[in-house]
Amino acid sequence: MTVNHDLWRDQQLNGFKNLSGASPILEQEQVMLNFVKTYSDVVWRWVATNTKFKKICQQHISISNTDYNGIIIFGPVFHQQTTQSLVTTIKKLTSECDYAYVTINRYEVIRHDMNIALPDNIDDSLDIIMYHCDPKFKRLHTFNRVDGNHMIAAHPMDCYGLCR
Amino acid sequence: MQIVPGYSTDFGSIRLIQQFRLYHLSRPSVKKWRTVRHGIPYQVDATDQWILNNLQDDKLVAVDCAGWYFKEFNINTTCLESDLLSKQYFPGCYVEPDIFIHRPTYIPDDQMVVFKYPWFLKYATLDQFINFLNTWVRSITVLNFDPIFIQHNHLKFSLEKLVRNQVDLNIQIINSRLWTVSP
Repeated sequence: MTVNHDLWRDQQLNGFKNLSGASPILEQEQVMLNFVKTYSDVVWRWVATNTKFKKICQQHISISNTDYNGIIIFGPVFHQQTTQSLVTTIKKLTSECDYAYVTINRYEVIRHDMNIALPDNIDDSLDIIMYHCDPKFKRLHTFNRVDGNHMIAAHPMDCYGLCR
Repeated sequence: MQIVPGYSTDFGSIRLIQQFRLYHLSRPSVKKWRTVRHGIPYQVDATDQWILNNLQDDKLVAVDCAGWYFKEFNINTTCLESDLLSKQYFPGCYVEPDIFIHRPTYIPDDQMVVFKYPWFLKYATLDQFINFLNTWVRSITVLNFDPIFIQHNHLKFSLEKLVRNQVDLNIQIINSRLWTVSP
């Protein structure tokens, strides 16, 4: 399925009848906000899906793509990755940052091509892969089942935070 | 701010337009089928073509894929759907909401059964998938689905091997998204 990320999240959320308030957000988005708001002095670079959620974030944190010391990464940048390409991408993007929020759609990691043994459990495997990006990455949220018409495309559920 | 814990229709009722949007999202064949009314031949995909090439007789059971378009090819098609909206398009279909875990007794045991990207196989657990196979496979069963979305460690294990270890069924892999399973 091809997803227009610009529209997907807002369209799906607007599909609910009983949401109150102007800006409902997903649980995993709340996890991100809680994490990034912890570091009030950090300016964040946004390397992620551009949806209404970015505008919500701008009400709470500073975002700049030129002068930053934190980075938020999710969305198309991780499309159809192998474990090696995922690690390379994350290392490169986070190399000059003290803080990072990274969230992965586990179904966009399609093949394991690193020379490390993975545990049997997919959650543990992703944790190992993130450890190879930086041992200080901590898991903030874990994929849990949603129905087939899902919101993972809007904001993935395997979320990690980094504070160097 | 209201927090949505997961995108589930259980979370709260969804708007009618969203119900239709989701219905069509999981059944792209409906839109293609509707063009047939204007004299345009139905455009088959690779899975349809495989089915047309391999169907032993002119009968099949299409499950949750708005499969009434097979009638365009003079195939006697029994259509089973989990969503009542299907009746809007094809009143002759059967509607069975618990299709994932229940195989109605009126489905013959000797006809090809086709599943094309059924919503319930997305994020199903491995145990649910095994139960589904054990419930449904009475005859040759065509599964057009994304194996990666059956919850397992796809970075370490092949779904095919995991399944073969747990069921006594004949599994043939046609391509990465097309399996046939038979007793």
